[in-house]
Amino acid sequence: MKVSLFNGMPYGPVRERPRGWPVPNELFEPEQAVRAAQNCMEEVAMADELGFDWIACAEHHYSPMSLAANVNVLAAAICQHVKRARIAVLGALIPLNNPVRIAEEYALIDTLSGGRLIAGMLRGAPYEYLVYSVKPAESRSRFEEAWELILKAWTATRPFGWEGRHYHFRNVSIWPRPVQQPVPPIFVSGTSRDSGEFAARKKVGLGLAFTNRPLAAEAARFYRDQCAEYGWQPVADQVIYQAPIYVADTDEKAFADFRPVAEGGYGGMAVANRLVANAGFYSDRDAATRQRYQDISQEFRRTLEEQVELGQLFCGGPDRVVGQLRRLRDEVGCGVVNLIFQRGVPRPKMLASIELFAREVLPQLREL
Amino acid sequence: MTGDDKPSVLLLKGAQQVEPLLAQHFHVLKASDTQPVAVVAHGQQAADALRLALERPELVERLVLAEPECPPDLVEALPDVGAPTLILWGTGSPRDEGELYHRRLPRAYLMYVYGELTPEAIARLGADFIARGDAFAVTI
Repeated sequence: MKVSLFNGMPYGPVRERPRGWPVPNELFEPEQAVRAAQNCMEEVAMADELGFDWIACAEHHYSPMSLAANVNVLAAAICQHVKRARIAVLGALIPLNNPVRIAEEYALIDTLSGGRLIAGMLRGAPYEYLVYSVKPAESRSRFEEAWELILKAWTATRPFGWEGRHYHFRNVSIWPRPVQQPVPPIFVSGTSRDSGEFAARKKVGLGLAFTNRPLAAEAARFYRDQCAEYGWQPVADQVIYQAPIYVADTDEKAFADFRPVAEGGYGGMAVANRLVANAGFYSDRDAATRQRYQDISQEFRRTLEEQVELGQLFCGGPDRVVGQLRRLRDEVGCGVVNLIFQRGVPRPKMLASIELFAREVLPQLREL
Repeated sequence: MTGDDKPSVLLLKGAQQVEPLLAQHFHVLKASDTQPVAVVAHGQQAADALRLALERPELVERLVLAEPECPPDLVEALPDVGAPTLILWGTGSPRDEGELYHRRLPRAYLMYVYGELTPEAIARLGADFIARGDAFAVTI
């Protein structure tokens, strides 16, 4: 099993606990943001040295949860501090951005990193659609068209123009092209059935996030079934599972430290997610996913023990966490786990958690 | 079309004997009488358009080729085509030879149409290219 450390460059605690989203930026303190950036670089460099296989980051907007509004700017910085691990951008939100620019930036990161980019092509969580005035109901068709355009921009060897439903370009001829030929490894989000079918059709990897083990197992099964229908079989490394984690010396310490964070409720996007989910973001096939967003905040009111049992997060001493990840591997079949260590525990404990994980857990995962 | 409702035909050199016969049915234009024209052709018809551009370059001001399909000898000759050419290709087409034509034609512009290359897209993009030439590259 491969292990990825997710670092979305969180801002850290704010003066007042934010309610809802977007978070008013009167709470923003420049010095703290600079520290957050420095911390992020220290952490990714440390994870690289400790043997994590990937360093991952993702685009998010309008909240101290993550300062990576342009994830590719962050990824370019990470490239300078991470010498060995792959740089997984999971991802840029394709329908919200200029697809040619995404193709260019990804190719640039692939160049800066000497061919270590993992290219996530995501639609994003529903709430992100309140950011750049993209209609939620157009998300899927924008995504599919942007996908074709990005792939064409990466692989074309002559200048071309593009006349589409959503995108119109008269001149495309990107420099650099990706270092990894013909294209870098690609992952799409597999939370919805539409996405799982799309990943299977395009023969790319599947990323499962903001979910739990039973739902992910079902999504991974659906993806594999679809892959079989399209005549191919994904390898284990083509399924990523993302979740928060906290490891301490003993189970008791880990649960005591993590409980206030894990039971602290949802990040405040519930209303925005519901609004967008009800504005055509999900197709009829994904009615169940849409329904889940109606009351997703409830899922985060579960006890820490319930969340661990569901695989919604991982917590415990090293052996217990190994057991949780083994169960995840067995039931979901994911070959890569993308771990969020920054989930609100104080930084010294978070760093200790990363180090302990690398020392005690990581070696055991290599055998899975 | 002209005022007498007869369709127009363009008569090329070597076909003089048929002119009176054609004139019974058509309004006959002789090459020497006409302004250079833009030629729009689809699929295998692109071969005729390219041959015309090669053999009578003074007649062909621009070419619009929709998913052209030409025999190898003509593909070989593409570097000799002088007319600015718009190559249109649908991304849903099972054949993707846009880059081949773009590489060989000296003054070509390659445009992908997302999905199927519809008649509407051919007409709209072709009209823009015919009207604006190299300025087609500029979004207005």
